[in-house]
Amino acid sequence: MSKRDYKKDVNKALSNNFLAKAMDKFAVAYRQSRKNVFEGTDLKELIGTIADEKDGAISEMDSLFDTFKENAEKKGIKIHLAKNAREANEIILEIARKGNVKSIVKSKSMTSEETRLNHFLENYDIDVVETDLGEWIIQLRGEGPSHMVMPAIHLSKEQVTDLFSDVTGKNLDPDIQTLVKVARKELRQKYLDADMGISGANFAVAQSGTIGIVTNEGNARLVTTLPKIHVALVGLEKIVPKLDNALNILNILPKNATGQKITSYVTWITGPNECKANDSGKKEMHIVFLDNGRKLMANDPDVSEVLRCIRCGACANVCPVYRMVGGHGLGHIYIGAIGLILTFFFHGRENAESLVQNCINCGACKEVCAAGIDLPTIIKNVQSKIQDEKGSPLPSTLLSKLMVNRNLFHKLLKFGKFAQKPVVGREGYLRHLPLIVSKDHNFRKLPKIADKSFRDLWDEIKYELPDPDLKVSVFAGCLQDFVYPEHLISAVKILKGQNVQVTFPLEQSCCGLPLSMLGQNDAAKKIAKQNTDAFALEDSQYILTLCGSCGSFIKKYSKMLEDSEQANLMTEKVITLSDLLFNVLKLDEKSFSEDQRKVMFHSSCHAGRGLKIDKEPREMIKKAGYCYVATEEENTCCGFGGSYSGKFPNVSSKILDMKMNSYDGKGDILVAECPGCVLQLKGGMAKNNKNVEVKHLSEILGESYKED
Amino acid sequence: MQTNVNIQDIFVKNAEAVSAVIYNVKNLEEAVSQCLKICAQKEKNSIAVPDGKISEMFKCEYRIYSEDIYENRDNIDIGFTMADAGISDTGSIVINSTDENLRIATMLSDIHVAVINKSTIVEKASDLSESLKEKMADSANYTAFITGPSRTADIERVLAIGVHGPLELHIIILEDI
Repeated sequence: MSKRDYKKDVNKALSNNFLAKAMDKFAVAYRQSRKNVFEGTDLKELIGTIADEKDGAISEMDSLFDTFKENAEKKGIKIHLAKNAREANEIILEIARKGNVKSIVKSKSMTSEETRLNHFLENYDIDVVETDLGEWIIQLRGEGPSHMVMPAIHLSKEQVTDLFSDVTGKNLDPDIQTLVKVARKELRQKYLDADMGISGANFAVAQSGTIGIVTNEGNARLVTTLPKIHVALVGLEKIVPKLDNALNILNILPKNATGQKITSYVTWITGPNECKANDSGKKEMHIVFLDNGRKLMANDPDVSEVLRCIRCGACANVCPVYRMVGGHGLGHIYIGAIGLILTFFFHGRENAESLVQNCINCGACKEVCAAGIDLPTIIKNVQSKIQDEKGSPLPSTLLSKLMVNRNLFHKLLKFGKFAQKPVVGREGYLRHLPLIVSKDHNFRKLPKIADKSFRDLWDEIKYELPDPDLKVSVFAGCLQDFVYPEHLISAVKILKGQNVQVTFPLEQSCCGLPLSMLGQNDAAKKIAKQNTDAFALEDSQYILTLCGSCGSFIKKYSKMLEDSEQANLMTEKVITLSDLLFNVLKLDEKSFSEDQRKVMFHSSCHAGRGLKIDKEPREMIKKAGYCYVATEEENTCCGFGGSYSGKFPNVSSKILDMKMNSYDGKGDILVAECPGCVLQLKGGMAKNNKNVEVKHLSEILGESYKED
Repeated sequence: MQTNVNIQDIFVKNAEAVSAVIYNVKNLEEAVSQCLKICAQKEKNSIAVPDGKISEMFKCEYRIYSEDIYENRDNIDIGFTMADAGISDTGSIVINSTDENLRIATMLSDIHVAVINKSTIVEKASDLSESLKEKMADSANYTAFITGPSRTADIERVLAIGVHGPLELHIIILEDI
């Protein structure tokens, strides 16, 4: 899908008010239900178990299939292996033909959506009815599911009422309980009359040839019991060695998906069971296993962990982009973070290329993934793969060539401060953006480039201490070096007061994150090397960054530069301000004067989730004499995402609106430990004339710091 | 280590949390009469009792199906079945439903009444792992974990109880074996 068409879909989703309310309610409710249901569980251990067991199964996917097949065929189950979607559909068609099947009832199966099974079978005059309530609703509407577990979450009860009124020919009330009973009644006869039932499976146990299905409505039980033929369509990666592995997955799947301890039904089917509908008295049972790219993925170490996915949908549930646009905006058939990746492998580059860019890289998905999949990194890898195949867009190539030449890059930024003069307003914001930039980007005020960058000011700031307690080097990062030097100046002031020697190696450059986000991995590596060279000569104990994103990206240098000694040193030493002040220097109230102002906090994604900074900034706000006010959406992304807000300004803007609403009227100041977040939030508050001052944590700490 | 008493209390708490209705009785006779009470209260007419011996205990004016459950599958108000085990962690009952009539009684009835022996309630699903594996080693098996009545939140995420499966689940806990 072209970028322009994709953006049209996204914009359409953004303007859907019902969808916005539904997704918002869901995001907030899910957070709480998930927290409640995992109370008392060692979640880290559970996720570790799932990851290990799934990795084990993936590494022996072929032999597990053989074992499953052997055990299943002994019991009379017919096993098929489909190379791709088309083959799977044709195998199922053939089974239907042989069985003289005229009508089919289906229970929910994302794998059948993947192969577009219904669509295929309808061409052959076979009536296929979805029996899962949400799936039936969207089938009647001719739509695809907008969520893996709640396919019709984007629809209002009024829309469902209209739909059901058409189906029944009656004038129905928009009452949800009534609507559900309508579905029960309408579909009951279909179960009784159907010749074939098609289901999916959540797990396939090789040791006994058993499939397990996790459901709430009772439809899968009817689908697998009443008709004379049962066909289960199952992805190869669902096969696990033993029942215990399946029970482990069962222990996390419903909890992560919907916050339920367990679903109403878990059905374990082993072999062809008694079935009076068949002359033989026994069910004709088939399992069609689907490859469709899974074998390739299993053999690719960069990607194989994606096959751990247990299809819980949690990654979509916490995604700030999904929250704004829903599944039809953030998915092709599979939705959410995992969907961005699977689309590339199952549905091809054309369907994936625009989609895969709509990731803001906040890390919320990775934090909740039941199988511990590093979704953000793999999404970036897929984006890179696509660019390698297709060739990079010209702006990305130019930018990467530019940034790798540090001197030229910095000269250009300094030039920018002159070039911007005509458009800078009185308070230091750009009054308006040049016309070539679309009006979509005007949703927040942008800051100007500072008159003097931090590196220009360094000669005035630097100092020499006779007997320092600690030595810290500063990693300035582009945004604070050239736009917000005041953040760095404030931090240095505090460190000087604490008898800490600060140094600033001038050969440092951008951390490289923007390049990585644009898929320019080689250029990012070059810049990383420049930085590790620059800091190698410093004999400091820590490298201070005031930017969570820079810090989080520098932590990757070891891996990027193959564990070179310099890279490892830099990775080890990098630290945020709150971490340094709270954990290392152990600053307390005595160093600060009291300030009665109410301070709210925004947890920058890369500092919070990336560097695991949680209590440090909140505690420092209190230690620095301010009144810390907790708010609802502290850990939700601000919507900046660096280059993201340039690519998808409308989504960025909507996320920002949601964030500003959560802070509105609750406090005087809002702080974050990342200049990108400060830019976004400050610009948004200014554009919307809100009364909240947005600052970097270093600024408020500097303001109340007692400098004696 | 949890005592049996604790496990049962937790079982009841978790089952009630998902809208199952719990009764405690001394023996099977009392269980049967409780089922008849439910049938009267709910103004129902037909009860499917897949276990032949137990079906003979139903002396009443209602239609009782046993061998002929399949033939009357679209007419079952109440399904009365034994359960093989319970899981207290989640408030679930476990029913080996390989017999088709038994399956139909648990799936097509409006009200499912399940009888469980107190001593068969365990703490977690993995505690049943060995016995489940034994059953699954057979050439045909259909085992169900059932937790509360059928439900959905597919419309506007509003919980609705009673979709395609039973609208109500009643669990009768037996003291005796």
